[in-house]
This record gives sequence, C-alpha cells and structure tokens, in this order.
Amino acid sequence: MKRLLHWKTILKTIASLLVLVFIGAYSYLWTISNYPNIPPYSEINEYRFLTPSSDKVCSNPAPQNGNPDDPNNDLQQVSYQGWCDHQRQHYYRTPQGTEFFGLQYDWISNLERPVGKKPLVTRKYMQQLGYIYDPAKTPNENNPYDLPVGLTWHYNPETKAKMLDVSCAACHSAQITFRGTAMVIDGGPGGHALPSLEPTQFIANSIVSLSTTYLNPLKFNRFAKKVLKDIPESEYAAEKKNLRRATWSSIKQALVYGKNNGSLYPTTEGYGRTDALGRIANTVFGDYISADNYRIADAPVNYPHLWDIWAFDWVQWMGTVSQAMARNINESLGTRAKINLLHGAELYDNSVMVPELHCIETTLQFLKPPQWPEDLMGPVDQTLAAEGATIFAETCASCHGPFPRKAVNGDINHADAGKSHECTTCHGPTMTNNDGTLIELKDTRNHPAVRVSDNQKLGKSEAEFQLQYKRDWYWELIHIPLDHIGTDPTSASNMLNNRYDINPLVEQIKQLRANGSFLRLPDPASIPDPSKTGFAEGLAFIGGEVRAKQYRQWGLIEENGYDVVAGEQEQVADLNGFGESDTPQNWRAYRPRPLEGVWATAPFLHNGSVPSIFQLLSPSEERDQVFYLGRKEYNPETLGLEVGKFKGAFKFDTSITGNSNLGHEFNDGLCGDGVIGYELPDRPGYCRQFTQAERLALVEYLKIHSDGERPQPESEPHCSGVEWPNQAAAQIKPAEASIKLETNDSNQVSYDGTRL
Amino acid sequence: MLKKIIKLLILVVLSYALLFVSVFAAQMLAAALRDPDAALVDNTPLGKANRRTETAAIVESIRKIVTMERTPQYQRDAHSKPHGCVRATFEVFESQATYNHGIFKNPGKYQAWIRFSNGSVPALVDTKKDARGMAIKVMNVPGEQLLPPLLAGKTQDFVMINSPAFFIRSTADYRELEKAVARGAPFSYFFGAHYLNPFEWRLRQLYLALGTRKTAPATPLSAQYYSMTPYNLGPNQIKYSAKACENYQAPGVDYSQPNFLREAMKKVLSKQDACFQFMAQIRKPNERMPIEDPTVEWSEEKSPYVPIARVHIPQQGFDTAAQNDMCEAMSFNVWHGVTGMEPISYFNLLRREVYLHTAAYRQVRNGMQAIEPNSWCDSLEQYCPKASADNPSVDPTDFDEALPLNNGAL
Repeated sequence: MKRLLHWKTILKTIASLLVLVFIGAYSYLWTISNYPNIPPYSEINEYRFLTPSSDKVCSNPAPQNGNPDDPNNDLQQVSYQGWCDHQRQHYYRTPQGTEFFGLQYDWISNLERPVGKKPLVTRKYMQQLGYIYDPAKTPNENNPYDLPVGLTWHYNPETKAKMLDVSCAACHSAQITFRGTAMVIDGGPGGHALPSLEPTQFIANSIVSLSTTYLNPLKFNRFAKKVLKDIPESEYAAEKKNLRRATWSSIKQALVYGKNNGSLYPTTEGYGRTDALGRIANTVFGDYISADNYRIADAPVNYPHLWDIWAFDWVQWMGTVSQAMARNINESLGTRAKINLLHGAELYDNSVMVPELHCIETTLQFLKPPQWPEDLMGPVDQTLAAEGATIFAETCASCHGPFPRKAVNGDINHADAGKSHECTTCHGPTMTNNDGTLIELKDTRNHPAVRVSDNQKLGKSEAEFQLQYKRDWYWELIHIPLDHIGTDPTSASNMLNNRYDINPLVEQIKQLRANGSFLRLPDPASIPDPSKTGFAEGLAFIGGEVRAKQYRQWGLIEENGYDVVAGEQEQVADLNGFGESDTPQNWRAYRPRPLEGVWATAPFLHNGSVPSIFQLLSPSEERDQVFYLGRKEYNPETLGLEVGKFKGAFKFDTSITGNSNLGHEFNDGLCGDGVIGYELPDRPGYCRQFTQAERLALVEYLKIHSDGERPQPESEPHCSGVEWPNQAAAQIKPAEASIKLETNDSNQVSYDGTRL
Repeated sequence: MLKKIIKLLILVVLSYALLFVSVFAAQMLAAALRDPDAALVDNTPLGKANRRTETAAIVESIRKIVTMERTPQYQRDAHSKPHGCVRATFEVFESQATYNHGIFKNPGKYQAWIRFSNGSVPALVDTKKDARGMAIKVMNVPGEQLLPPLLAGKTQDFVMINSPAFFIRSTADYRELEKAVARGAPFSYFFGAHYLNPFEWRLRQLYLALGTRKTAPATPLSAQYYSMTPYNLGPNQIKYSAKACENYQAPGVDYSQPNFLREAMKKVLSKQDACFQFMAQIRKPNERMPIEDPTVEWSEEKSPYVPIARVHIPQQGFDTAAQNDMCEAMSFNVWHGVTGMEPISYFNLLRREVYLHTAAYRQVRNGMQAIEPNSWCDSLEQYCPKASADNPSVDPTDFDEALPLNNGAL
C-alpha cells in the first residue's frame, strides 16, 4: 500500500496513462485521417454537363479562335440546361452569407489531415463524400482552390476575413455516374452529408483537423505559412497570433454547436438529405434566440431540385411558402447566416446577402430541366413511351400537372370567372383547405369564401399580383393532404406541431420601442402568444425584418417604418419575387410538382425513401425496406440509383421514424389513405396496382416527359448588384449601394398601400 | 472476483425486478386515479388533423402487415382464424323508448350471419390462450346507412370479443403498436425499443393484453362477447354485449385438437339450436364510464346490461367449402350500420378507415368481390327459398319464419 502511494509510482502511472491516451487519440485520428467509412472513389473517365442547346447561344468569355470571319471560330458556345457559363458561375460561386463556426475560406484548402501532412480537402476526398466539381473549369478566379461547386466565400467586416460560405449550389446540384461518365445536373438534388457531425465528413473533419493544427505547433506553423503567404514579414508575427485566436474561436464555436445540437437529430440524414425545416428552426429559434427552443428534428428530406421552381406559386415540400425572397432568407438563416436577435442596439444585424440571393433566384429562372442523354444511357423506346404517356395522362397528370394559370394583375372578377369556368380551370383537380382537408371543388358548401375583387386568390390572402404578369403565367401547385397521400408525415407534423418561444426577441423590441424605436412587434393575428410561436409564423416575422432592414438601407422603404417609398414598389415587388407577399400557410399536405427531368432526381419522395421510379410505381411491399446510399451510379432500367451494399455506405432503414417508404402507393383496394393508384373504371373508389408492363411503360415515358411550354423569364438575371468575383462586391453592402433593376414597364398597376 | 460479479449481477436483476413491480404498481394506481378521458380528448383542429394523419399511417402499416402475413391468401389483419360462419336470426324485442333507435327502432326478425374467430395474427391453435371474436351481420335493415352508398349495403354489423376492455388506450398508442408489429417486434411496444428503459414500459397495457388472451371456452357458443368501444343509441351512449343463453357443451370433442372450437360448434349445432342474449349497457355520464379510453370497463353494477334482442342460431351444418369461402370474403365493420346507432370515440373513427381499407385490399388481392348481402340467399344460393306451387315468387329478403332453416348440409 505504501509503495502504491509512493510519488514515483503515481507519477509513473500518470505518465503511462497519458501515453496510453495519446496513443489512443493518435490512432483514432490516424484512422479518420484515412477515411475508413466513406464511399470508395469511383474513377471518372468523362465529366460532363447535360442537355446542350441546339444552337450556340452563349458568348465565349475566353475564345481560342476569336476571328469573326473564320467559320470555325469559337466566339459562341452552346448552353447546357439553358445556362451560359457566366450564369452557371453565378450559381456556383455567388455567396449567400452563411458561416460555419467561423471557418475561413483560405483555411479550408490549407488544412492538413488530422494526422500527417497530406492536404485534407482534395478533389478525390470531396467527390467520395458526394460533393461536385465544375466539369468545365479547373481552378479559376472564382474558385482559386479548386473547391466543389457551392463552396465560396464572402467578406466579413467584423472578422476582416474571407469566410467560408456554403451557397445554394452546394446542396442543389446533382451528379449521377454511369459506367465511368459523371454527369452534373444543375439544380438537381445534392448527394453529400454536409450537416453530418461524423468526424470523417467535411465540416467535422475540418474542425478535427483545425484542432490538431491548433494543438500541434509544427502543424500550426505549416498552416500559418500557407494561409499567411501574402503577409509581409513585418506583420507576420502579429497576423499569426490573430490566426491562432481565430482558430481557437472557431473550435470553440464548433464545440458549443456540438454540445447544443449533437443529440437533436436522432434519424441519421445520411447522403443527400437534411432535416431542412428542423435545422432552420433549431438554428434560428434555438442557437439565435433561446436554448429552450431546441426540438428533436427527425424528419430528413431530400434537397429538392430547382428547375422551374420560380414558376411555382408555392415552394417547399409542404408548399408552405409563396415568396421567393422570404424562402431564400429563411434558408440562409437556417444555413447559419448570422443574425442578432437578442441585443438591442444592433437588433436584426445579419450577414444574409439579399442582392446575391436575388441574383441566384433570377438566374434559376433560366435553368431548364435535364433531358435524357440517349447517347449515354440508351435510346428511348418511343412505342413503349407512348403507352406510358397515356397512363401518365390518366393517373399522374391530375396531381403533377402542370397547371398553367394565367397571371392576373389583381383585377380578376371571381364572380364572372365562376360563371364561365369550371373550378378546376383555375385550381386543378385537387386542393386542400389550410388544415389539410380536401376541398371538393364542386361542393360550394365546403368551398372557402372567395372575396371578389379583393386581390384574393383561393388559398392565399392578400396576394399581390402586381408583377405576376412578368412571368406571363405561372404554375399552380396543388396540395395533397397527408392522410390521402400517406407518405411519411414526420416532416409536416414537426413543422405544424412544434412551438417556439420568441419572447426574448419580443422583449428586446419592446425595450427599443419604449425608447422610441419604430420596430414592429409580431402581428397578434399570426403570433397571438410569442411564447408559442409557430414555425412558419415565427420565421416569416424574422425573415420579414431582415428583408425590411435591407430594403430600408437601400431607401426602398421609409426610414422609420415599413411602407414602401413611393416609386419603389416595383423594385420591391421584383426583389420579393413577382410581388408575392410572404404569407406562409401551414398546409398539412405535400405538394406534387411537375415531373420533367424527374428521372435525374433519385432517390424519391420528400424523404428520399424510395430508390427508383420503378419502385415508386410499385406497392410498398415491393419497395426496398433497407438500401444503401453514397454512390450515385445510375440505373436506366429503373430510373433510380444502384443501392446495393458497399463499404462506407449509408444504410437507409425505412423502419426508422422519418424514413417511412409508405404512401404514394399504386396498390390494390380502396383508394386513399396512402393508395393513389389506378382507379378501377367499373368500381369507383377502388384502386389497383400497375401491371409490370404499365410500370415499364411509365418508366420509359418519364425519360422524355415534357411539361410543355413553360413560363418565360423576362430578361437577364438580376445580378447587376453582384460584382463577383470582385472582392469588394462580396462585402456587406453599404447603405448607398443600390441595385439597378429593369423598370421599363408601362403597365398601369396600382401600388397603393403596398406594405412589406 | 467472479463471486463479486455474480453478486453484482444478482443485485442488478433484483433491482430490475423491484423496478418492474413498482412501475407496474405505479401505472395501475395512476390509471385508477386519473380521469380516464381527460388526457385523451383533443378536438382542436390540430388534434383532429394529427389523428387523421395518424390514421393514414396506421392504414399503411396494417396493409403492410396483411401483406407480410399472407398464407398465400390475404387474411384479415386481426381475427384471421374463423371457427365458421353460421346462419342466425336477429330478433329485436319491443322495448322501452330508451332503446328505440337505429336497428332497435324496428322490432322483428332479421336474417343474419355470425362469424366466430380467434384474435391473433398469425393464427394460433385453439389450445393456446387467445382472444375470441364474434361478429354479427344483420341483413336487410331499414334506415339510413352510415357509410356512403358506394360502400354501404343494408346491413348492421356488431363486432365483439370475449373481453369487456381493450388493452390499448389511445389511437396514438395503437400507431406505436402497429409500428412495432410491422417491425416484427411486437413486444417492443410494451417494453420500449431497448427493453431496459423503465420510462418506455407499458406494463398496465401488457397486463390488460395478457388479460384478453383467455383459455378457449367449451364452444364458441358458450361465451360472452363485448363491443369494448361505445356507440350512440339515440341520445344515449352504449356498449353492447352478446351472452350465450346457456353454457353449451360438446361432449366427445377432443380438446387437444388445434381446431376444436370449430368441431365443438359443429357438434352442438348438429343436435340443437343455440342462442345469445343481445344486451346494451347505457352510459351514465356522471360515473366512471369514459368514451375514449377503451381500457376502462364500464361498471355493470352502476349500469347493468339490459337485453334488447335475441340471437337465434338454428340447428345447422355450416362447415362446407362454399360457406367457408363466403365467410372469408365477407367483411364486418362497425360502420356497416344505420343512423341512430353511430360508432363513437376516436378508436371507432380509426376503425372505419382501417376496416374499409383492409377489407378492400384483401378482397381485391384475393380476386373476390364481396358485396354486402341482403339475405342468406344473397350470400349462398343453397339458402334461397324454393319457389313452390302455393308460393310462386319468394322474396328472399322478406324474413319468413317458414323458411327451411335446416337446408344446409347436415
């Protein structure tokens, strides 16, 4: 006993324990440095875009042969999916104001693996994780470090640094591979696991690597040398100190995030999914307002594909939001753009980049759905596809439309329209009330009151139509109630059922108001009790303030209020997106969208629980109960992914909460409650499953399905306020900065009373 | 060292046993003390919408379970094993005004089918403990049907098992159970996903569930069956029950056989008629008689069951292939019924969707088309009354005492 207590023994024990811990930690870091559990790299022989235009419609920014008299000149190029290179670059590299634990842009490419000197972020590693590279461009001025699309930077005046900015393209660009050819599908659903805290995933691994860099002086010296390579010797020591401070601050932020958020996501999102609404809520209401607002988010959803969304009247899986700017601001906040919601003087200060969001949004108006690459994946059997077209018209078109609606200027006379039109002319065949019950359109007793001549449209209140005519017409999206479609209800239920306490914010506003501030309080009509704020209402309020703050800086709305300055209505309407007001609706429903190009968006359903279209057309018992994600090898027979088991895969188990693969079923029995199938002509109300032949015909048809003529954007994307890649443009805009918008319309529209 | 580990293990096991007993006691006590419906009733739009969503999810998982359990025929999702379908007459008494609603408004005799069953799926042998079911389909009932015309016939169904209380408390709990069953781990419903977390235990419900599994009666004709869930009867709410008129015995039947209940019923009905008292129990609003919570039995002391009809099962043979097939194709649903006796409670609302969907799924998958019959003759041709010289045109839906009740194969 005495010997055991001898100081030498104690010291020895401690020393050997320390050695053990060190060896353990080192071997763990060594393991994750070698990526044990991520999908294997698959060789890419050819890297390409889809759907070149038939004519050369884009001017070549860097022609090799610029002689206009030479017929072989390359002054003009084809577009892909409707985008010329500069539009694609805007989409790929325009930042939106997001920050991840203070990670800086210049750090990312200079980090080493946690153990060893090899660089952490390489093309191979990022491609294994499902990130996508620009097939046309090697490193260039927009992308000096050869990072995946969507990873970019903005300048933060507070930290005086270029912050890593994850923008829209990171999650809304897809890549599928087929026998060694990788195809980038612009606007398609992303396939990475960005929000994952697995230490071998990009963000978490960056933090691990940053931590080892911080702890290991040799590593830190190497890191500092690379990051500060342009710093003159005289300032090097001071800058290095700053870098060390910034590094530590970043690690701390990540640890706090991990502590607060680590246990909130019990259903693993895996590759290609995120619980978008859940994460937005936990970030905005939880991280930014109060720790009491953290809620379990167990409803991961796919990243929706973005072609045509600008033409929709409602976006999001539940079709909850109608205003583009509102949707985009809320998404930025949820992707960790900073906002101050707690401290009086600088209340609502934020890093959301409104002109950039507007540029990306309007750029997306020019994006077209991908067309089936016959040269690569085989010709389409036209006879079979024609059979499929008939079945599509009979069974699918009644929900998936599209339902083109003539845009109106707010002077529609519903009473007259009702006399000369069927209800379905305006509203499609199926539509729900706000609580999710089906409206039987012919049944006037259950039809919501239509206020005539009051800018009122079914299902919307106070819609502003002033600029609707600019897209000529739009596509109405209908809402199918959860209990009819029967797909996993978790996402909708969480959104509808969760309540958040925004009183800390309301208290700040009250104090400011007591000191004479004009800032408004939440509207009691939508938020009667701020301690029980609904998701949509809360976000609409906060997002509205972000919008207002920016517009106020630009002089678009009055300095001490919310009224639009006379003469600026059209610009505000354009920024918001066709003058739509932000009146989110809590539909207990999911929203079927038009299906052109849908073959490129596997896996399917909002939660990605069905790996192929063939399975989606089958009864649920014929769908995979368990499948494996992480590769994007395409199967043209089923219009889906190869989902066999492989090392490093994400196992998708459909029995876990949020992962249900039921519903949207073509099955036998009574239609409804999840069965949407083929209604029996001789037995109304009863459905049957598709035969094998019918499924194959539909699969063939969906390769070439077209939604017909689509709304046309009016002019160029509105990117004049964005001088990318100039560094100054990416700084947060000073108040006098203004964005020039085309306001050459002579249409007489009354803007009276336009409010935000 | 080993001893210490064993000691520790024993200690852990003992403390879990203690925990088990105390959690059970606490749950029983809590159930006895609480107002059973207080936490269950939620008629806000949100509550209603959530229940509708839940219902769709339940229907979807049950469809999946039915597919899993096919043999290769698609079976009912519960009570899949029949002991036989027998012909019966349902005789509504002239009774006091209290009971004069729905089918009970029109005293008289109705043709009916009765299906007796075992509750468990997949089917158990009769020697095992199980819940036993009795479903009555009364035909050609006047009145306005509860279901839309497409799905309704002219029938009034009564669906019962041989326990007065159900073991699941709410439709939300039912959803959890269906999830557990669809996962292939029904016991995780009672013990939670990891079994060891006492906060996930549902020991009271386990106790009630075990209580509904009973040793088989002497014959299916010798038990009392209960509706468990409540119904409107005019202005009142009732639960109903059918009680065997006597304790029918079937001497000579081998009670170790897997299908002895069918044999016993055959034996009894080959020699004699049988009957059930059909009774209603009126709810007293001030007593502990909840609408939503089916785990709470309504006290028969506070409100006794009162006979309002009689089920007469004539001497017959029923175990023919044709009759058994007809029996399996038929669907019983508490929503087959007429106004005046509407099913109430969230559970009965859920049953509407579940029963309609599983029946339709089963029928379409099995290639059967089952319509709601109006008479025995509608169901099986052998029971059609023969036209005779003095009665050239017989309407099979008119109930006729003279109808030969024994024309089945005896």
